[in-house]
Amino acid sequence: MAVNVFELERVSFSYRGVTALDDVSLTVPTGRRLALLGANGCGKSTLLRILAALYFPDSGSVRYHGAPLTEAEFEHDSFSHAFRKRVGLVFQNPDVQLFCPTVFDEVAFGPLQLGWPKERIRQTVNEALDYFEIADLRERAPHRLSGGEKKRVALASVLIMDPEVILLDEPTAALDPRSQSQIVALMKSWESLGKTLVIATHDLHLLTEIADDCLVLDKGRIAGRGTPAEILADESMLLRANLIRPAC
Amino acid sequence: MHIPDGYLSPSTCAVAYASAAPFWYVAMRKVKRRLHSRFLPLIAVFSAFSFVIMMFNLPLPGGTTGHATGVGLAAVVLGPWAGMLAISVALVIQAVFFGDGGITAIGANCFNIAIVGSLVASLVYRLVAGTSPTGSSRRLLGAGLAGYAGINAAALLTAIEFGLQPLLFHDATGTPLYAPYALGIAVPAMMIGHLTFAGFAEFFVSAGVASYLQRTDPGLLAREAPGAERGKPDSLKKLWAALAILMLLTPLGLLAVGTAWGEWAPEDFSKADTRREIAAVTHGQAPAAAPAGLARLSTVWTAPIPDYAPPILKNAAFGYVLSAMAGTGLIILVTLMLSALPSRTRDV
Amino acid sequence: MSEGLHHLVHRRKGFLDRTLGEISHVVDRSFSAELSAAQGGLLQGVDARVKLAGAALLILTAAATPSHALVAGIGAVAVGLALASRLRLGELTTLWTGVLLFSGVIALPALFLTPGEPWWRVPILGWTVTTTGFRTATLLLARVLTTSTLGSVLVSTTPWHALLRAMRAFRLPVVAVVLIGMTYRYIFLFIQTTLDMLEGRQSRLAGELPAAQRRGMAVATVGVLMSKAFELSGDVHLAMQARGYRGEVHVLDEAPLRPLDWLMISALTVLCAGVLWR
Repeated sequence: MAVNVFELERVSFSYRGVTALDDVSLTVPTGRRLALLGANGCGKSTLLRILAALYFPDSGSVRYHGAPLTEAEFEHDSFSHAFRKRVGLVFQNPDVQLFCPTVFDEVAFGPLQLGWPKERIRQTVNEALDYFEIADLRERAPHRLSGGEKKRVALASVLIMDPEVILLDEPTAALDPRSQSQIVALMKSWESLGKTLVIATHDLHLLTEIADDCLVLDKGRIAGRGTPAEILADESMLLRANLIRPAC
Repeated sequence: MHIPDGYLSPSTCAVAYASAAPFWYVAMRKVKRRLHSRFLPLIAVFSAFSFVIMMFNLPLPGGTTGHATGVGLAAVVLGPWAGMLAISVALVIQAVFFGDGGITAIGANCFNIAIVGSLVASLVYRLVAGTSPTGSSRRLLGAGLAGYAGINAAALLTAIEFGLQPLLFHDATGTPLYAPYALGIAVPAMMIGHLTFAGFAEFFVSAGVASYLQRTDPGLLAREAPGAERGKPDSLKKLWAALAILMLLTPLGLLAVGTAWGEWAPEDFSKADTRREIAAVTHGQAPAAAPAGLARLSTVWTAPIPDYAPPILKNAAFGYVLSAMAGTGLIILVTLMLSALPSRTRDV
Repeated sequence: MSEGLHHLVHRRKGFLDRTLGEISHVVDRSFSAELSAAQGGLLQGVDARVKLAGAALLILTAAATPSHALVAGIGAVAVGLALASRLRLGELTTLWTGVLLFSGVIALPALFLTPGEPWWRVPILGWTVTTTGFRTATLLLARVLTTSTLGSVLVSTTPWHALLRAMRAFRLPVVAVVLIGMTYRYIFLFIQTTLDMLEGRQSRLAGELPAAQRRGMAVATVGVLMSKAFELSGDVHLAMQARGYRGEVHVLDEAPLRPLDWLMISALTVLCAGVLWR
């Protein structure tokens, strides 16, 4: 098995005529936690979607465990299923992520599409509902959930597949402090499970708690990389990337 | 308007379901082929959108307000096939979960509004907007007229379905069992409201939103525009073919309704009370004390048909089929005339 | 047909108020249905598939029979079921008032316009109600009241997702059921978005704008909503793909119906067929 989960080489991508990523190269080592930092519109979400093989780069290459990820590969059911099971993406907006009629259906959606046996699905979904403390919401419609509940359902719907790589887009955004600390505690618990994490955020406070490495993006380009301590020390770079306000 | 339960006979409803089914099937296949896996979220989200805008009260000239169905908009940005699916789903949800429109009448409502409405709206849009640039005002006119024509085609069809009920379904005493008004009353009563309020609401929503999209999101208007990059829209020929099938379905559907219920044997029309009923309506001889306005309206609408019909068409059943087909033909004719006008001025 | 009248009645209220009113009506209806479906009552304990089949059979029977008495009888059964399921009478009367207003306007002229024997002469006006006119108008109203009550009882005693799953038992294709489910879910998102947009505008508008401007505002709201809809549908597609969706949706099977459920459906079918073809 390769040491790196992802290897991106000179990836560029534009969306509706706007350059979202410009010449980005990076590696994500197995079992590490990488934070993608940057202001809104810097390309974090696009990068996550490239890692999740939802977008494919205009130029440059993406490798997953050494194998190239291309649109053609995803034409095959077996490849697509294997990849989708192993790489999970939690979207920032829970209204995008939660499209099923009830919480139960939502959590069962992934396993159903991947063709798991129905009995195993029922059992695993119930376990996941218990683990995320959302069992009492199982028949609830998504529009009747609070922000924190939605986030937990979104996490459950991805983690039920037990992915080895978890991609999270602004996991703590727009949550009350209590839900926020719940999510952070959850993310910390995955460290011991050997999961590879890529977390897009603009919340610098979380950095030391949830990340081993950081990558700063600014207008689609890499503006800096290093450990959380190194990044937090480089004030001029953070200023340029609009991650901190100029001191008054 | 959405037909509630009880206005149409179960056999009419069954025919409507049967007529709608092939269109749903073809639409689903076409949309899947064109949009691949995108079709599901796109139709669902657009359908939710049209459900919500059906609740909008649009201020109209004259101080009133009106509702739009979004049938014109759907035709403009999604095209007829995806549009008919999206509007159908919205109508099903209205009927089942919110009691707006009957459950037995879902087929009829979908056929009238979603299917015929979308096809007519698309055709009008394609004819009027032609190959004009996405930013042109001709495209706005096309969008507006598409909505206007779409909703009025739906209303006319609904009125015809209503109007056939008393002829086809009545008991021994001549009591109509479902919608009680014959074509002579049902059609004008339905069309007056739709040619004005509802039609204008649809016009303004379609043209207004198209104009909004021209300024903010012209890409959405380019989807269905001829020669657009993303997917090729159907040729006009195919749209005409779909409408032609609909016109042929009209008499077949009526025959099916009649024979299924066993009430439409030709001898029915020689029975004294049936004839009296038909005569009363078609010649405008409503009961002596009928409100004068409505009686006059029915004369205006139906007078020419019995008088000028050749003897072979004196059979009332045939006459009704003919008038139903004439109604559909009228819509198409008006559509053609509308499309001819702006293109000629443009050529000059 | 009553659209025109509707306009006249409501012409004084602004479109914002009326739109907000209609939206809150939909939200209220779905919320109160959820509440009553969660209560303990006769029909709440019955399998959704049995209720769906039962409601469909009764609605069909009420729509098919030429007999006033049978329609009224089914209506009485519907009211009985509603009460046994602890539905509030107030909600039923609200429903009936709406139905009577709408269909009443349509049925009224039929009293005079339907050809037939004179039955009663309206004093002062001198219009004549015919026997056939009276029979057809009352039959229409009875049918509409009965069928709408049955529909309301079904929705108010069955959680909507259960009703959705029940549709699959009756051979509705999976893709149709999934479409309806997703649409229903996103209706509430768009309602929230619309409320946010309209309420923001309402508070900013103290005075009345000219009609053209109000119309422009309404249309702009629809436009914003539509742009959002397309963006959302693209993102939802990605979210579905990320979890393995490839164009065909797979769903869990339902538990098979119990013998008792089958018995209830069959008994009702035989009963309905019996009264119709006796």
